[in-house]
This record gives sequence, structure tokens and C-alpha cells, in this order.
Amino acid sequence: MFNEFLQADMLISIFASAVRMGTIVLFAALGELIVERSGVLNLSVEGMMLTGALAGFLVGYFSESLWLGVVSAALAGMLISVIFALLAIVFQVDQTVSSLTVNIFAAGLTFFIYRTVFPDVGSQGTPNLVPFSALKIPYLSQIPVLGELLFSHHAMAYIALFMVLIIWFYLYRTKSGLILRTIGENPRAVDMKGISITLYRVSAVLFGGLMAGLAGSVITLGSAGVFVADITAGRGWLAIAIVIFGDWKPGRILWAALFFGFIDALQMQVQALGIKLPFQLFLAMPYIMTVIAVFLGRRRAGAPIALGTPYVRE
Amino acid sequence: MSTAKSTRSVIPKFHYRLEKRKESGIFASLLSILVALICSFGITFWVISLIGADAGTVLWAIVKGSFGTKNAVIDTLIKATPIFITGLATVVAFRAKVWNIGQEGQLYTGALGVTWAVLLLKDTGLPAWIFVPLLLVVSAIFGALAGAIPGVLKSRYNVNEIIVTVMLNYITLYLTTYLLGGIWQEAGSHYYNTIRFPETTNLPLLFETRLHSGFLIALLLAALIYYLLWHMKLGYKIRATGSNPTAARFKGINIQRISLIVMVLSGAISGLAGGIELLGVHHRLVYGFSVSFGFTGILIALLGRLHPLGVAPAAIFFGALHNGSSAMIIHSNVPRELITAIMGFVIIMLLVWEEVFKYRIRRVEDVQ
Repeated sequence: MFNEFLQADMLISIFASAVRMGTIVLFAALGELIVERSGVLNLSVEGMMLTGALAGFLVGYFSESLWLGVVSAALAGMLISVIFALLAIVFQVDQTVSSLTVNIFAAGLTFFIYRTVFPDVGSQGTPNLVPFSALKIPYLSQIPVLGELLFSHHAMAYIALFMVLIIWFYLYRTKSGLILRTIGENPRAVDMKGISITLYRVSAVLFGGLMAGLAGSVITLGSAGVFVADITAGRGWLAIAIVIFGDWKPGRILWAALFFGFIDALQMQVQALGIKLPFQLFLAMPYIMTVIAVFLGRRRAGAPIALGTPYVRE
Repeated sequence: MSTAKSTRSVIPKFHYRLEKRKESGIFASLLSILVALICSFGITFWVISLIGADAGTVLWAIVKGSFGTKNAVIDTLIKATPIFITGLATVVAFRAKVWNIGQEGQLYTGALGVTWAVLLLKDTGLPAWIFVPLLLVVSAIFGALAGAIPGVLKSRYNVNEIIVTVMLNYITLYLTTYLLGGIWQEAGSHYYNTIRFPETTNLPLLFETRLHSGFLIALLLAALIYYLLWHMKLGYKIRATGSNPTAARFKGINIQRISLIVMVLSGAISGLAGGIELLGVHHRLVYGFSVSFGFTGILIALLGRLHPLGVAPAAIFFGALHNGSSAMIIHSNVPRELITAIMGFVIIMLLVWEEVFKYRIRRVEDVQ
């Protein structure tokens, strides 16, 4: 059994699927990185992802255009983040309380909308669509091993990897990125320069919502092809853990996301192999690893100092 | 208003300014709850009409289904019981600003503990008056242990309790399906359920109805928590930690210790909710016996303004919505999930209005 497990094909397919699974959380984690760097602790990633997953699925299903679905998912994630921004930044309600409320609202709303659109789900079977197929990059995808690992994914995976670069460039090579990082560390200093903290933070939250929405669309349009209640299964929370584990730095977040993608992929493959351990243990593996990740990330120095504190002018 | 006897030589000029109070009083709190409910009611009305159902009929069905008959009222109270208790668990934690989101998992852990004890002791012939209290204590202990994990991680290692508790919810659920799909599964059953517990484990019923004494325990617990938070030293420390951790530390309060105590306490209460629900309603462990009781508890605590006296009506209100939703789906094509969405919306409205009512318009004298 283990010989089979260690076969090269198997390993390559696990790693390739790790990249695919990692893509989901990578989008959400990069969005959350921008939000947290501005000093806002948005814990409603899960709800925003769920909304994106539903919007992406519904629009993809009815318009038969996956890309239209992706765009709608981004917009839907953003729309939910408006509620969070309103509560947490404009009205300065406790950020944790705002997050929890938005999460619960999004969970109820998405399932309500789904059941309203498809009242006969269950008796009529689950509506499904054909998800994104792999976009094999010409020539490069022919390379043995590397071809399947890196150049045979659906388009969203390439976009996610590209986003790492964009986010890195924005944070460390633009003036606006510098201002955003400073707001997360010392908002008063930025306020004195006459720059609006609220504007920056609200924009960051909206961007976070957009990215979480995209992450949600990758679940429904990139792999599942269906929508079910709680389809995000805690991945929004995983994204937050990855930001901590990745020490609030884009490069490390990429590796952390890929690592968790690997755990996810491994969990599925091991199940398929029929190894004689309870399958629930493998299903629980990503959650156990997340606890370990936040535990290991507890002494990370990269946390923005003003994280979670609303800015009040004196 | 300036009087003629004003010492000033010129009549002062006024302008109006919007000011924000730091805390909202009890009146503003009640007003914001009322306005939030009215807003949500309006939106619900509109959404139901949008689906193409007659909103009046649907809402009347909910009211009749939850309070229309004696049995409906009893059912509402039964449905309110577990979320009442998880709501109280939330109050204890959130008052210290310890964000326990693990009520769902802790409730399941309590239920697992009860099931373990029942399966262990079912043939010993323990009389009910020993068996039932014993099982309730077991459920609280198991819940407390589940709460201790994030509690220790937070207090000793400063690990974010929110992520840990959310993850533990999933882990506990998988543990439950593992046990229910394996050694605990009723022989011959195709579902995730155990055998029926012996009669001696049943919670006593009240007033010769289906209402079990769990509701009474919940009321008692609410009184206890009120006493703890406002009339005991520990409660004072909990509230001080929540309202200003820095100041609390200067007062000599060990806030690490408080966050551990609070987490264990909150876990124990959630675990008890699980035990009560099994012994009062299901009489066996069955997968999905908790209809998001843990998460609803958080909503209830927020709607009840983190006060035991507020949690009680909030729990009955949500219990009524849950109960009434069964009547709603019979009378219309509105899906049950509407209720969850409304619950979230009520809290959003509440938070917004509470902030809005903190503003007051004040007339300010212009400085010459």
C-alpha cells in the first residue's frame, strides 16, 4: 500500500492538487493581509467567502459563463464587506463583534438565497455546473513533473500566484502601500499628515472582501461545481491563521497557503487509498494543523501594532 | 435659553453640534433593540413579498406556530432552552472580551461526555435522582475541558482563542461522527445515532407537559450568572478585564487567569446545554441534534446586550422564530433559512442603531 502511495505519479498529483487547494486560501489570505496591515482585524472572511462562493455559483450556473461568475463573486464579497466596514470602521463597533455578526448573517443569507432559487433541491438532485478546466500552458506544461505541478492549473490559480507579486509590489514599492502599512502601525502619524485613515481602512476592507469573494468562487467554480451550505468549511478562518503563520508577509503567506493546500490534498488522496485509519482523522487534519499553525505563529513579530484598535481622533 | 438677567452684555449665539456619548444608557439600549426589530420586521415583510408569498399570512403563521396554542408555547420554550444556555455561556466569556466561538463544539463535547457515561453506567441500575444530576455534572466537566484547551492556549501562550475555538468546533464534529459511525453506533442503524438511553436518564418533565426541567435549569443559571457578574468579586474582575484590560492589570487583576477561568466556565455552561438537550429531548446521541445552538447562542447574547436578563427574552424570541418557521414552511414556499438570515440582520441593525443613538444633538454656545 505504501509503495503505491510513494509512487511518483501519486506524489506529483498530490503536489499539483496542493497548488489548486492552496489557491483558494491564498486569495483570501492576501486580501486579509491588506486588511490587517491597515490595522483592521476582519474575522468575517468566512462569511465573505461563502457569499462569493454562492454568487459565483449562481451567476455561473445561470449565465453559463464562469468568468461572469468570478466577477460577481468578487462584487458579492465586496458587498458583504461594506456591512463590516460600516459597523467596524464607520460606527466603530468592536471589530470582533462586527465580524461574528457578518459571518452569521452571511451564512443565513447564502443558504436562504440558495433555497429560494432552488426550492426543490434534494428531490431534484443538486444543481451543478462544469468547473474551470485546466489551462495547460503550451510547451511548459509538457515538461515532465514541473509541467503538471506548475503549468497545468485552472486560470484562477495563475491569477492567485500573480496576486502575490502584485500585493508585494503594492505594500513595499508604492507610496500608498507605505501609507497603508504605517496606518497599521501608527495611525496618528498618518492622520497628522492629513490623510484619511477611514478612507484607507474602508478601501482595505473592501479589497479584502473582493479577494475573499474570489476565494469563494474558486471553491464553487474551480473545483466543486456545486454549492452546499457551509461549503467554505472553515477556510476563511484558515486564511486568517495563514496570515498569522505567514508573519504578515506576502511571500511567507504564499508558502503557508501551499503547505495547507498540501494538507488538504494529502487528506483527500489518503482517503482514496483506503488506509486503515479513521477517515474523520484525515478530514480533521486541516483543522488540527490550523491550531498548530496559530500556536507556532504566536510569537510572530510582524503583527501590525494598531491591529484591531479603532482609530479615534483626540 | 438666555434670560434677561444674563450677566453677559451681548446675547450669546448658538449652534448645534453632534456629540457622541461613550456609553449608551438603558433607555437608548431598549430603544435601539426596538428600532432594530422594527427595521428587521419591515425588511422581512418586503423579502417575503419579493419571493411571492403573502407576507401577512407567513408572519401570522410564525406567530401562531410559536405562541398559538399551549403546545406551541411549550415547544417554543423547549426550543429556547439550549440556545438560552449557550447564550449565557457567551455572556460570561464576552463580558471579559474573551471571544469564545466554540460553544457548538463544547456543547457537542458535553453531549459526548453524557453519552460515554450513559453507555458506561446504563446497566448499573442507578436511580434517576442520582443518575440525572451525575450526567449533568459530567456534561459540564466535559464542556469545561473543551473550553480549557483554548483557555490554556490563550492565557499561557497568547494564542488567538477565536481561531482555536472555531477549529475545535470542526474537530469535535468529526470526532462525533467517528464515534457515531463506529463503536457507539446503534446496531443495525444506518444513521449516526446511539441506542436510546434508559428511562432513568430522562430529565423530569414540568407541569405534566413535554417541557423538561432543562428550562428551569436555564432560568436558574441565568440568575446565578447575574449574581456572579454583578455581586461577586470574580464577576467584577471579569467585567473589569473586559472593559479595560490595562486598567484591570493595574488594579492587580491577573487577566491571564481571568481569561482561563472564563473560558472554562463558558465551556462548562455550553457542555451543560448539550447534556440537557440530550437528556431532555433526544434521549440518545444523534448527529445533528444541535441546530447551530452554539452559534445562535452568540446571536442571543448579543441581542440580549450581554446581560442574563436580556438573554432570557432573546432566547425565547429566537426559540419562537425557530418553532414558528416549521409552521411557516407548511403555509408558504418561504424556506426555513430565512430565519437565520433575519437573526443576523437583527443584530446588524441593533449594532448600527445603538451607535446612532449614542449621538446626541447639543446646543453649543459660540465663543466670542
